[in-house]
Amino acid sequence: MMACVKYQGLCRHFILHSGVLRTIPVAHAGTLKTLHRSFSSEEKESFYGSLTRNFKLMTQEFVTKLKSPNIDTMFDRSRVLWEYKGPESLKEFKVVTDATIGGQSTAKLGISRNNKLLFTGNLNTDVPKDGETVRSGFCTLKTLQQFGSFNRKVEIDLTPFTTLHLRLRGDGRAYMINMYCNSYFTLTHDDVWSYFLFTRGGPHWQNVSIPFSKFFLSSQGRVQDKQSPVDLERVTSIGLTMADAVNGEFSLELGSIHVTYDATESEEFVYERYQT
Amino acid sequence: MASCTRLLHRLVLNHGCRVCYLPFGTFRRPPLYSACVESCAKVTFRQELHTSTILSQEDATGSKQQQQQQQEESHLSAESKRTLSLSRNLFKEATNKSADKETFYQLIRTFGEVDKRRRGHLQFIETALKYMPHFNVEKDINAYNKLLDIFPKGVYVAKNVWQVIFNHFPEQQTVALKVLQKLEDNKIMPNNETKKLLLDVFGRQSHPVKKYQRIMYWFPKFRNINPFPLPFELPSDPVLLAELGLKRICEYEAELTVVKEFDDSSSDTNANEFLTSSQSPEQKDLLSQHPPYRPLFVEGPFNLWLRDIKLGYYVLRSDAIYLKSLEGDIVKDEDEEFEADYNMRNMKPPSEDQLEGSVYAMCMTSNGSQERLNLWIKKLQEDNPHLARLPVIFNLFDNNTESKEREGRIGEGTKLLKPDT
Repeated sequence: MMACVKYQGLCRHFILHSGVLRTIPVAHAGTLKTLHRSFSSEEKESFYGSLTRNFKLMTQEFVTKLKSPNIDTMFDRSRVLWEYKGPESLKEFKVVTDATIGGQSTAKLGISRNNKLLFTGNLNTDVPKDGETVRSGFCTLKTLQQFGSFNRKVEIDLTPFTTLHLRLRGDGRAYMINMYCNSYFTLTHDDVWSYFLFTRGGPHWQNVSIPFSKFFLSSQGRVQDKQSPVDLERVTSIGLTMADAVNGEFSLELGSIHVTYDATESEEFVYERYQT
Repeated sequence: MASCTRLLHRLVLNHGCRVCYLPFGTFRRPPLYSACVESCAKVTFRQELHTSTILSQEDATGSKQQQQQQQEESHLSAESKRTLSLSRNLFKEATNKSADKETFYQLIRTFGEVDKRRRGHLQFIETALKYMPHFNVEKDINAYNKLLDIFPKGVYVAKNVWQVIFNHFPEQQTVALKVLQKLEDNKIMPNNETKKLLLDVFGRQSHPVKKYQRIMYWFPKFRNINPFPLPFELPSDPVLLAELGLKRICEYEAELTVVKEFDDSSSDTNANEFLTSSQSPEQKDLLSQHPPYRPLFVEGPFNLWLRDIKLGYYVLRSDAIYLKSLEGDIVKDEDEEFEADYNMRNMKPPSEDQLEGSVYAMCMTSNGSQERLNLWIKKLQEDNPHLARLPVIFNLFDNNTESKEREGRIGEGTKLLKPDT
């Protein structure tokens, strides 16, 4: 049975997904946050202070691993990864534009008048004149990487789920959804699993659902010949990229990102696995 | 061993041709049919930079040069037959003629006639790629095929595994890759002629053929994934565009009405003014039940992009008083079941309409002034008599003001589609 991408553009009612909506167990999320070092503080942490903090974190992580909060998701069918709850929800994202390579696009995060996250900006495809760059023009909204004990990357385990959902309202432009995963080899550090996100535009909210089987692998901007499905055990962040090569302003309102398990999705991977 | 180090030395110091590894200027009078002809004259990997600086210098000196060229005879002198000047001059002259694909094809033919050995074909192809937008041939697959046809057939095909490993004729492969990349960027499907040409020129084990295979694999997979597809060629008529845009964002049962004649003082060219409005029967019902003590807002213009065209639409919606009052009512329990809780308390989850204000009608117009929107409201009153009793507040976004009401759409300004452009 073919995995299909479902778009419910006309829904004007608050969506309750099939199944029970549960948040991540509090013991896992909350205590880790208190032990995370606040990077805004000016004073330098002492060596022993950092050691104790990291060891505490590590024991916490070990305990949560023993408790296996993912087993609870056997009874869940969906999990909210991010939801707009107030201005502090904006801190979980960061914005990257092509200003890093010398381009002129601008983008920023804000709060929309309907009290949701607003990703807005102006895409500029003028190529920076350095003799090497051929193309330019991208703006990315990306969830921040979380760090655990000893500055190791926190991996989100999404293996119980099959579909990624977003609730958003765009202006008709096409974005790309990217999933970044942790990996052992430096060769695979630039691996990104992507898929296209088409927005409808208009005053109504749009519910987008994309099965994980649809994400194709690319590295450093080039789609790879040898494809593999997204590594759901080790997801570190999710991002949205605006790079549709059209000069002009864009804006996107994001309400929530969640994942669900859809039993009707029987396809593991949509593209051929052998090197084509 | 010594020759190997010498080779590496040459490569590293970039004093030599990357194709034949001999130093630049080895061949003054190049031998017949040598593939290294132009590579030995002046080749660097920053070829684009090289040609682009020349072109920009040309533009800088500008009109003087153009006048000189026009004064010169129309046939190409021996001086201008030199490779870089040849492609540059050919295209410069062609810009004076009509900018269409026939001129472009003629140019390619001229290049073949000027020199049967087609010296400087790499520079010519790269210059042609730069000038493609000017001649409007970016979306034409035949133009790309004709460019690939310039390459000689069979010369660059690798004959053994070592040639494959060492990228037989890398410069030529790079240029062909640039042609294919431009093809890919413009989202055009290559055809059988492209395949035949690539195989004849470079052989099966080459990078251009691999790139062609990649295009042929991925393009069909992504061709029909857009759930809101647009026609391949968007109409140029602003009324049709507005209809297309409104149909995309309005409700399924909505009816579109188009008004074309206005008594406004603001309409200078009556032929190009229009007002397209959309409202569904459900919205009419909701509007007829709207309480008269709550105001209605006309908001806009919001942006709607149709591929690369920006439209602006206006919305008639009720106010969003629920936004603040419901914050406390929304249940956010982590342990209890969301659904069951609501069912037990006999409460409905807040609908999106209550949170933001229901949309009663939408419109697109060529002139977004208050008078025009007043006219729209009057038009709506014909079908919704209850609307006459309701207070309507106009909340129009301005380019210059950064009011809090605005949805933070910052940019060059909210330009509506102008019929003249």
